[in-house]
Amino acid sequence: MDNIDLEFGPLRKSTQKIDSDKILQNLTNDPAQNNILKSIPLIPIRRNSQSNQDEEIVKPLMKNTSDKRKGIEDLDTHETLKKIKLFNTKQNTHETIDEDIQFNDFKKLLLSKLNHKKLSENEPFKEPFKFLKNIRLELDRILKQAIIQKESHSCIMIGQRNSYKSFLLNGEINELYKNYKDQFITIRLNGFIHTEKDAIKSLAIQLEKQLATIHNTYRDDLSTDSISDGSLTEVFEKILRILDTSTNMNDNASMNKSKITVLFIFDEIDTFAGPVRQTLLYNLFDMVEHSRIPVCIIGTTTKLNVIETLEKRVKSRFSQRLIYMPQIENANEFSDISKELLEIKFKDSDTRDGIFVQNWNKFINEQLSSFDSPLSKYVKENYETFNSIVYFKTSLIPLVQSAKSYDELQNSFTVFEKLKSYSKNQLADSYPAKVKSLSDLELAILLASTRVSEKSRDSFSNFNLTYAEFTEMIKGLNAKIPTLAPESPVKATNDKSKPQKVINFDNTIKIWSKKDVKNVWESLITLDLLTEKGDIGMRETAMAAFYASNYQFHGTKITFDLRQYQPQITLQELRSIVPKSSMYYSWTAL
Amino acid sequence: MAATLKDLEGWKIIMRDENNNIIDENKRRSRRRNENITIDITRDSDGVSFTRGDSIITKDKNISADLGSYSVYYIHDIRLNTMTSVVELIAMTYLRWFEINPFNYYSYFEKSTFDNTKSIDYYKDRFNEEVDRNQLYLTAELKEISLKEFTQLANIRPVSDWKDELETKVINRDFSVRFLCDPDSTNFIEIDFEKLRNKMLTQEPKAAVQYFKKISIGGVDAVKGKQLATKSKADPVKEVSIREIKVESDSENNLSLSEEEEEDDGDDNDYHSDYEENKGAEDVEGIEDENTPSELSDSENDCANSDEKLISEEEYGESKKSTRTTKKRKISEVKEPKSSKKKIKATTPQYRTAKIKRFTKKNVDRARKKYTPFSKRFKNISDIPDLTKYADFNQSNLDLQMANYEAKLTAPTNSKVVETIFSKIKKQLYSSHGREKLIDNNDFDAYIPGRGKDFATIYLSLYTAIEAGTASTVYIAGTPGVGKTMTVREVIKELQSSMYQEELPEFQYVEINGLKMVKPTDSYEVLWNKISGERLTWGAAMESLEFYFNKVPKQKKRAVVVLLDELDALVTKAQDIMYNFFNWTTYSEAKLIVIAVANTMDLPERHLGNKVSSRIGFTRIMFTGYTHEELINIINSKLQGLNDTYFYVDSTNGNAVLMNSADAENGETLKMSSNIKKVKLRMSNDAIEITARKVASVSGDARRALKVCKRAAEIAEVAYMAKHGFKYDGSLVKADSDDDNDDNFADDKDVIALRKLKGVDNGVSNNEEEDDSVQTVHISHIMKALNEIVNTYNVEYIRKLPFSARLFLYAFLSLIRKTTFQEQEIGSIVDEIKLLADVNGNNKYISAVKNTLYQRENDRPDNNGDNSNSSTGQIRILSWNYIINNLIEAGVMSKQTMRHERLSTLKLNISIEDIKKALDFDETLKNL
Repeated sequence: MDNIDLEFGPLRKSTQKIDSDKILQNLTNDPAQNNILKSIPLIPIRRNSQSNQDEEIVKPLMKNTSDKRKGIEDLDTHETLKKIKLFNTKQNTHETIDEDIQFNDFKKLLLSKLNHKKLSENEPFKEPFKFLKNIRLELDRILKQAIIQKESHSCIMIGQRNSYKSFLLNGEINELYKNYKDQFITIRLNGFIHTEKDAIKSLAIQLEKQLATIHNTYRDDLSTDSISDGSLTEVFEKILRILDTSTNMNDNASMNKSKITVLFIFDEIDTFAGPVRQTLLYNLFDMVEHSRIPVCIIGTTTKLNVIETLEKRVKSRFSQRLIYMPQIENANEFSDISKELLEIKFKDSDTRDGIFVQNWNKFINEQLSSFDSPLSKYVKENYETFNSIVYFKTSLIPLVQSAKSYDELQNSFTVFEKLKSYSKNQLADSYPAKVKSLSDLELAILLASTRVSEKSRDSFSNFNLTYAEFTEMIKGLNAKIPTLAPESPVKATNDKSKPQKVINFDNTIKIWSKKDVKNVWESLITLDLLTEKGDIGMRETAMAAFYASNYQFHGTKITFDLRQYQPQITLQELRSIVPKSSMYYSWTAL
Repeated sequence: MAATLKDLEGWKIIMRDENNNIIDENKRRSRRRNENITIDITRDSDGVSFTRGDSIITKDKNISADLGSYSVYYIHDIRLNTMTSVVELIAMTYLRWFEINPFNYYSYFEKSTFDNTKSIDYYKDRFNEEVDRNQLYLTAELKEISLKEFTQLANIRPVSDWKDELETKVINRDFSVRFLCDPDSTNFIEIDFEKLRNKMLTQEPKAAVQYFKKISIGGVDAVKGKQLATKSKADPVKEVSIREIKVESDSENNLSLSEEEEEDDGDDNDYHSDYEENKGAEDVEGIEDENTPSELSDSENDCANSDEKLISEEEYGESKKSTRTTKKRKISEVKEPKSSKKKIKATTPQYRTAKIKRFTKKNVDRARKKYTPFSKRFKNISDIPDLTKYADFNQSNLDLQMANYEAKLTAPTNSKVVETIFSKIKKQLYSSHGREKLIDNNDFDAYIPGRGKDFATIYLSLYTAIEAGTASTVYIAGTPGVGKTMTVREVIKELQSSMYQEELPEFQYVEINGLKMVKPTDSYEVLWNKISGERLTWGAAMESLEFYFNKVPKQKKRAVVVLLDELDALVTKAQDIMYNFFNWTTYSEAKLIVIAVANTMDLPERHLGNKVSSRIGFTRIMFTGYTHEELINIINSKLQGLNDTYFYVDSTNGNAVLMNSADAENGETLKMSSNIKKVKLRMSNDAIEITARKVASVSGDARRALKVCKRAAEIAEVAYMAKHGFKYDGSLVKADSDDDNDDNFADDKDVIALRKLKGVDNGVSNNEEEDDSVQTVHISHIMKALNEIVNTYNVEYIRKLPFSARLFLYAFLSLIRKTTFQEQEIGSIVDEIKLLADVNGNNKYISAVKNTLYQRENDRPDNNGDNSNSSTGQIRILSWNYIINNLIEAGVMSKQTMRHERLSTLKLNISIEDIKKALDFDETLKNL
C-alpha cells in the first residue's frame, strides 16, 4: 500500500466511503429492475381468520395511505398491536406494516416536537423550553397591557442568534390575534431590509394596508389622500400627524373610545441606531410618551450594548426596558433542556400516546442520565463548544428523518455513526479538509508559497518567487531520490553520472512548466488558500462594499506573477495536516 | 356596493333624468352625459326603492342584538360602473344613541351643570335614562355600503313630528336627526335636517360633502353658513387686489398649457380632493373659500366669484386663454349660456384613481406652481395683501384629515379596558401627561418645578418682542430631559392665553423639530406652510420666507414665534438653515422670534463659526440637570391626586376605579357590593426620594426619573397581579403553584442594606404588604427598576458563554497582557489557544479537551505528546466561526473585514475588567 502511495501519492478525493445501502438504493433507480419489480403482482395481505373482520378491510388499504389515518384508525392500530403480540409468530408481515404506520406517526410527532410545532391546533402558545418561561410571561404582560389595557410601552429584547426572540414574540402575537384581532395592528420593520428611509415608506404602507383590512375597506378612494402617497417628507409628516398627536391633546373625551394599538416590531433594531440621525427611533420613542394612540415598540437585537449606541436624546426617551434572553447556565441545565426537547409529553387526556412514545421517553431518559452514553457525551460537547440548543436540534433532525424503523432510530442514537458523519460534514470546508483535497502539485505549490512567505520579511509571496522555490525544492528532492533502473539495482549507481540515458525510467518528480503551474496557482486562489494582500473580505456593511467595489488600487495594476499573496495557513499548521507519509512532509519545515 | 352583476341580483337600477323620465339602458349611451341623472335602486322582492338623500338601515353584526344589530346610513351618492364595481353606494354614517359618548354629550348640552369630576359611569347611567333612542347624529364619516346588508329604509321624521304625541312612530324605523357631530361623537352642531338634505341634493356629491364638512367643522348652521359666505364675498377691496396678483401669475404659468388644458378637460375633472394643494375646495365651489389664501395661487375661485354654481374645468381653461384685460368680461359671458352644460359636467361622475391623476397635465401645472416662490408673484411691494389672516389657512382641512385618520385608528369593536390600580399612575408618569391638571396653579415654581426662573426669563423676552413687534432670539441648551421643550411650551401657552385676552398682538407659534423631518431643508417647507398654508418645494419656500421676512411690511403680517427644537439635527454642510433662521431675525421688518433648543451650549460656535454666532447676540439660557429636590417635586406633582388615593377594585377581574376624594373622606362604603374592595395606592416617600437622588447624581434627567418610577410601579403591579391571580385581559386565575415571579424582594441584598441605611423598619413595610387594602410602591421596587437601568449584562453574558468562547477570550486577554496592544490578529489568537492547549501538560483531562476542540481521533494515543500525525485534527477549535460571529454580533468585539483570516484584527468593545471578572468564575481557566 505504501508503495502505491509513493508512486501515485494519496488519491485525491477518495475519502468518501462507499455505502452498501446506497448501492442498493441506486439499484432501485434502475429502470429495468423497476420494470421487473413492477411486474410482480402485489398480493393483498391475507390475515388469519381469528382477527377482526373490519380490520381485514382496513389493512390492505392502509398500506399506501399512511397519510389518511385518523384518530379512530389509530385506536384500531393500537388494538391490533395488542393482538399482534398474541399472535406474534404467525403474523410477521402484518406486524411490520403496522409498526411502519405507527412509527411514521411517531416520527412525525418527534419531528414536529423538534421543530417546535404545535401538536394540536387549539393548544395555547407555550414556550418550547421552561427556561424561557419568564421571558414569555414578560412579553405576554407587555403585549397585553398594550393591546388590552391600551398602555404605551417600549422595550428591546437582546439575545444572540437562535435564542428564540422572534419565536416567542410571534407566538404571543398570534395568540393575542385570536381574541383581539381588531384591537391592534402590527408593523414589522427589519434593519437588514429597511434603511431608515425605506422604513418610513414601509411603515406608511403597512399602516395603511392594515387599517384597511381592519376596517374591511379594500379600496380607499373616498379618503383620497392615502398615507403612503407623496414624497418622503410628506409621508413622514403624515405618519407623525396620525400617530403623534401630542400637539392637540385637547380633550380627554376622545380617550374613551378604544383606539387601535399600533405595535411596532423592529428586527435588528441596532441598525436603526446608527451613527447618523436616529430620526425614526427618536420619533417612535417620543410617540410612546406623547401619542394618544397606544403605541408599543418591541425591538430585537443581538447587540449587548445597543443602549449605548442610542443618541442621548433617544436614550432619554426610551423606556430603558431591556429583556435579555436567558443563556443556558451549566451542563446539567443543558442536559435537562435537551431532554425537554426530545421527550414527547402529552397532557393526560391525549390519546395518541403510542407504545413508541413511552419507549422513546424511557430511552432518552436512560441515555441522558447515564454519563457515558454517546448522546449525553454529544450533549456535553455541544454545551462546551456551542452552547446552542438550536445547533443540537438541527443536528438531530437528519437522524430522526432518515430512520426507517424505531430500532434504527434508537440504534442511531446509541451508535452515533450518522451523527459523527454529520459533524464531519460540517467541517468539510475547513482548511485541513481543503488541504487534503489538493492534488500533489497543488500541495507542492502551496507549500512552496507558504515557505516563501515565511522566509520573506513581510510574509507574502508572489507567483515568481513561489515557482522559483518550487523548482528549487523539487530539484533538491530529485537529488535525493535515487533514480532506479528497472532491471537491476546495480545500475543505480551509474544513474547519477548520466541521467539522460535512463530518463525513461526516471523516478524523479517532474518540474512542471511555469504555464502549467500558473493554473494550479489560480486554483489555490479560488480555494481561498491564498489571498491577495490587503484584499477586503466579507462585505458586511455598505461602506465595506463600497470600498470593495473601488478596490482596484494596486492589486490589479501589478502583473500577475508579481502580485502579492499571503497563504491562509502557516507552515506549522500545514505540518500538522500533511501526512507524514507524504513526500512533501519534509517541506513543512524550513 | 355591488362588485359584480351577480351581487346585483334582486335589485334594479332605475335612472331618471331631470323630468323624472326613466332612461332606458340603451338610450343612455347615446345621450351621454347630457342629463342630470338621478339613480334609484329598487329591490325586486318588495319594491323598496331608495336614492340619494335617503336614509337606510343596514345589518351590522358588530352591534349586539338587543340594540337591533343595525346601523343607519345617509345615502350620499350612488355611482354606476366605477372602476371596481357596478354600483357603489357611498353613505354618511349616523351615530346611534349608544355610540354617543355620554361624557361628550353632557359636556356639550349641559355646559352649565357639567362637572367633569363626576365619573363616566355616572353620565353613562344618566345618559341611558335620558337619551332619545330614536335620535340619530349625522357624521361626515363616509363609508361604502354593501347592498347585501340593506334591510329597509329609515324614515327620518321632522322634529315637529316627534313633539306631536299623536303621530305613530315605529321604533327602529323612524328616527329624528337634530345634530351633526364628529365621528368620535364630539362637536355637536344643531342642524335642520330637511334643509341640509335639500341643500346637499342640489349640489353635486363632491361639492355636497365638502359643504357638509365645512358645516361640521366650522360649527355654522346650514343656513347661516350660506349667509356667511356671501357676506365675506362682499369685500371688494381685498378681492380686487388679490385678483390682480393672480392673473399675473396665471399668465406666467398657465398660458403655455392652456391648450392642452382644454383638450383634457372633462376627463381631467379631478374629484380627488387633494388636501395639500387645497384642490378639493377650489374644484368645488366658491362658497366659503373667499377668505382663504388658496386663491392666491388659483384662478378658479376668481371666476367662481359669488356664483353658487360650479365651475367646470372647461371654463377654467378657456378663461385662461383670454388675455388679462378681457378676462373679467369673458367670465361673465361664459356663465350664462353654458350654465346647463356646466352642470352636466359636474354631475357626471368621472372618478379616476389617484394613479391616473398623477400624470394629468393639470398636475404639471400645479407642480409648476409649487416651484414658484411667493416673492415672484408681486411686482410691487404695495401689492402685497394683508397677510395677517394667513395663519388660519387650511386648518380646517387638516382637522378634517385628522378626524379621518383618527376615525380609522378607532377600533371597530369596543373592547373593555381593564385597568389595574397601577394603570393611572403609570399613565400619569409619562412626561407629557397630566399637564392640564396643574394649570390652575399660579405659582410658577410648583407649576413647572425648578424652572421658574428660566420660565420668567423666556417669558419676558418673548413678551417684549411680541408686544413691540420686533425680532428676537433665545438660545436654550441643556442635556436631554431637563425640561427645555416643556418650558418653552408652557411659556407659549401662557402667551397665547394673553393673546386671546387681547393683551398681546396676535402671533403665530410654529414648532420645528429637527428630528421630526426627513431632511433638514424640510424646515423651510414646514415654516412656510404654517405661515401661508402653501406647500412649496424647499427652494421656493426659502425664497418666499426670505421675501416674507425681509420685504413684506410689518403691518401686513403677524409675529411668528418659531421653536427650533433639536437644533443640531438642522445642521447641514452649507450651514444655510441655521444661518438663514438667525439671519432673518436681523431684518428690521421681520417679526420673527426664534427659540433655538439644543443639547450643547457651544453648538452655534462649533458648527457655524462667527458668521452665525455674531447674529446670535441673544439671550442664552443653560438648563442644568434637575436637583433631587426638584425631581421629588416633579414626581410628586405628577402623582398629584393619585398618591394615597383609594380605588374600588373589582375582585373578580382586578378592574379598578378611582375613588373620588370626597368619597374617600367620608369613608363612604355604601356602594360597595360584595366583590368590590377598597384598595389604597401609595408610592412611598422614601421610594420617590431614592429615585430622585439616584437620578440627580447621574444626569438629572426628569424623564429618566419618571421612567424609574413607572417601572417600579410596573414591578409592583406584577407582584400585585400575581398575588391576586388577576390577568391582564380581565380574567381571574387562581394563582399557579409555580412561582412565576420572583416577588420576593427581601432577598435582594441591596434592598436590605438600603433599608437599614434609611432606617426603614422591615417589619412595618411587611405588615403593610400583608394588608391587602394598601398597595405600596416600595424602595425595593425602585431599587429593582434602577438596577435594571444601571446594570450591564456583559459579565453575565460572558460568564454563560460556552467553554470554547471563554477560552478564546482568555487567550485574547493574555495576548493583550503580553503584547500590550489592544488590537490582536486572529492568527496570533489561534496560536495562543493552541499554545494554551499544548502547554498545559498531557493529562487525561486536557487531552480530552484538546481532542474535542480540535476534533482529533482519540483512539490512537500518542506517546510523544505530538498529535500532528493524527490526520484528522483541525487547526481551529471546533466552534470557531460560531463563537467569533456570536461575539461580534453581541458587540463584545469588532473585527476588521479582511479576506485573510489570520491577519484580520480583533478589538474588544467592552472593558477588559468586565471580561476578567466574568472569566474569574471559570475554574478551568483559572488553572491555566
